[in-house]
Amino acid sequence: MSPETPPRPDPPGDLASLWQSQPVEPLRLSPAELRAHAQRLQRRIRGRNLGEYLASLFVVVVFGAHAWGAENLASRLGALLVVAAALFIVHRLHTRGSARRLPPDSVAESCLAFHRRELQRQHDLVSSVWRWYLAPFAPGMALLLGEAAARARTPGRLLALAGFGLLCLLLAVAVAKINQLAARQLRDELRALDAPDPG
Amino acid sequence: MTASVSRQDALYQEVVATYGPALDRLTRVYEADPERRRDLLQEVHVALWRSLAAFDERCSLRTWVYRVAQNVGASHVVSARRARPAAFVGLGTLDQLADEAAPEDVVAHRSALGRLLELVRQLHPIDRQVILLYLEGLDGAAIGEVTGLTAGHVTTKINRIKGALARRHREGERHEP
Repeated sequence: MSPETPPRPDPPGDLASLWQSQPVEPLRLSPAELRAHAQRLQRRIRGRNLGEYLASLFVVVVFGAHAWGAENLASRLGALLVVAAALFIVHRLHTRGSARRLPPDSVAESCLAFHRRELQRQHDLVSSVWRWYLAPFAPGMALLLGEAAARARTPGRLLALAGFGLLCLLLAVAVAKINQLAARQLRDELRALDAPDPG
Repeated sequence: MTASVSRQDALYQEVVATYGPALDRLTRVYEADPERRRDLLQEVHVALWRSLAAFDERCSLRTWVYRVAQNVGASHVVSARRARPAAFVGLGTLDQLADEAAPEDVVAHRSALGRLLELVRQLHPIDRQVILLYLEGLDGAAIGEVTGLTAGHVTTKINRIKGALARRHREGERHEP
């Protein structure tokens, strides 16, 4: 700093002045624009839910067709159990989606309360994935694999089915573990929110 | 147009006239990309307008506005981090970052404002919200009302963050040509 340069004010005040002196680009939306934006947002949310419903519909159609053309009771029952699992998930998504449509003023909660609620919601979601997303498919898939194994005529076919079954199991365990880790991280974040400041 | 809708629109106009610049500044912390930041600012405005239908003076309009803006911004960061995970900086590490700022890093961010933005963006959500409100000129009590923190908690956080930001700011000035 040269001798001619005037001394700077105290840093905290300087930081606030620096912050507030930023050039801004004001935004002002007309009532029509506001309504149009709000409707677009609602459509986007509905679109996201639609993708999840379509995936479930695909499972229902594929396994429903399998149940229709099944050669025996075990195969038909296994396919119907998978269809039931898909429908259960659709129902769960629908009720969860309804719960997510929070009133517009919920975003005006204090920052801490809002943040805590969001963390809790995410925690509840990931910690229950195995219960409401993985486990419902287990009985139907187990029955279908068991029935196919019972009909297997060659050791090679039996081995392939066992391999496929093991792969499905490992995938389910991996998904459950990942979500378990995420749930633990979220619990830590929730605890940190309520912890006294170390100062 | 019903009376309630016109009240909602009138409140929105009042909010934009009084807090428009603050809303613009806040979104710069929550989104660095200019185009996405513009979208976020629109999202904040729409959320504010929608929420004002239920504004019943349970708190001041200023508190309401800052809560909505900060909560929408924080939700935006959560969504963005799902796609691009990055670690937040705790207050303990923040002190270290300020002390260990490498000259080349500081020179690369010559703008003092750029350094400030960069550091604030790295803070944990609640710490970020506290310092943003401080930079907007709110006092400890007002910050506590917006964030839900106690006055003591707010003071502690502000002192620590201010100190680290000020040190980083001075480091940056020393390395400017």
